[in-house]
Amino acid sequence: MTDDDLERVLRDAFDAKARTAVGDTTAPRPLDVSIRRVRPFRHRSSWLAPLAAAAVVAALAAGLVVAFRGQLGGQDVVAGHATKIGTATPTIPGRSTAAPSSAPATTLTTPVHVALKFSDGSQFGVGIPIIAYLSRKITDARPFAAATVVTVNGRPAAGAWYFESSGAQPGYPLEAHYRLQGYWPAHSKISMELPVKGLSAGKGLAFDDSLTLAFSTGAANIATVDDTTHTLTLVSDGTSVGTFPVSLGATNTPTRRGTKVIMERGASICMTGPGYHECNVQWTQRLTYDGEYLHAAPWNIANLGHFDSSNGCTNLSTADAARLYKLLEIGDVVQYANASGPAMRLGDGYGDWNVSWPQWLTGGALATR
Amino acid sequence: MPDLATPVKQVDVPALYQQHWRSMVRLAVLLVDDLASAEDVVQDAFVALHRRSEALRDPNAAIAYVRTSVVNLSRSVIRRRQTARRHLRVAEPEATPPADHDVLLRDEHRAALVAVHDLPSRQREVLVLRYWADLSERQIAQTLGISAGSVKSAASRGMAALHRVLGEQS
Repeated sequence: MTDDDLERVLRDAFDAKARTAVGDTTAPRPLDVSIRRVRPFRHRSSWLAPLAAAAVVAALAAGLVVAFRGQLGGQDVVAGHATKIGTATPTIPGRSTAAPSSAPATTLTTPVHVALKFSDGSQFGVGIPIIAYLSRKITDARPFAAATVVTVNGRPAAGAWYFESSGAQPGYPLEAHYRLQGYWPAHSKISMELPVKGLSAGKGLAFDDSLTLAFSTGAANIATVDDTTHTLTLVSDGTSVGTFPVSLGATNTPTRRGTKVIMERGASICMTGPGYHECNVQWTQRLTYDGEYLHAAPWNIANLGHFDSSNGCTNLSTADAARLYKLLEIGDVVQYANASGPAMRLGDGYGDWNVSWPQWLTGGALATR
Repeated sequence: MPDLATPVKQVDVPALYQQHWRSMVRLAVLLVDDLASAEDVVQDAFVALHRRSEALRDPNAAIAYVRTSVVNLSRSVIRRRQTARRHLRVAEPEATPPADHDVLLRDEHRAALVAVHDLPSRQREVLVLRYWADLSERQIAQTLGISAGSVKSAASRGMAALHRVLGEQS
């Protein structure tokens, strides 16, 4: 092949590709000089945010917006169009959808990055909270809350965000949890849109990303642990699956009282605490950050069903722990209504269900309405 | 009568957008390889122009500015995509074009595009600007902010690499 041949191939290939991608009659989508844009789920911050924010600032400062609007024949370019970029099909230019219009931030702002804990496509138990981490302590959560759209099986859900300080992720001092008044419906598809990019997070602060999340719930698994009978009873979709003898925390290491949610699972892990370091602990399901688990405790068989003797965990026989490990998933609910320890709080784990709904609606650290 | 509406001569961004949107999206598609990212890149480039439009009086300078933005933003898209691949946790959608996207292309063209896509950014940019945008060496140099000599060497290295790759295949 000569250089001329190659040049001809390149010209033809570029031309064919360009024309295939964008037809001659394709109309441009509206120019969106606002900085609201719904992107597909993405953790990473967009470095374009400050640029775009600056663009809006400059535009407003120069008073261009008014002129601009006139040139576009009265089209409202400031409220803009949140353009959802398709994840499966090629984008059709111009298929922007009108966004619920909140005015974008209009002052030079410090970006606040939002990251969601969970990824798309997961299945969880009905007690799972949606968890978002924020890269700064914002001072106004209302635009964030107002922009949030959650649907359950396509129908709008009436949940709410609750904000608390967080140490869970380096660089994310604030954490927000979203839940409904009660548990999620079982066997449901839940989706969240968080088109907050460009929205104010308080004076001098604006969100720099938009997120979406889609997940589903499995069976409604509710385990109830009774500290008087020393048993765990599992009810799945309303049907009792079984009752399992347990041993909870001993007097000086009592198990917390309240509603917990399975946070993580491990078929075999090491556990360390004051005076013990135990590896190969089997069928573990974590319930609190400080390390309460459901797990197999073959060394403690004698006390199961009779006596609280653990370091705070819920000890089970190996067979029962294995069975529960198969039946349960992250997000499933384990209730300890009469355990002897201190009350479970939100930040002790996924302690969301220990916060009353009226309290939840206050938004916690930040007002959400 | 007070004359409040003294017109400031400035670049008409919406008109430029209407006029150049298609060619800019096509340019970006050739650089980033997927339409969604290409459209984003062009939007962002015009937003950047909008920010600068006060300073730019000349529509030709404005469109050169947009073209440079498109090239630079496209490079960022690719870089982000590579970073995302390195951190597998991150879901970067549309990293590959939709399956049906290039079906309409001839084999020869498809092979050439794949080979171009595998070139280093600079070489890819130079070849696209030269053979698709039909820019002169000087214009390419200005667009990329490099010397004419660098354009020349990037072009010849790119062509040599394509010869090698496409030669092996045939």
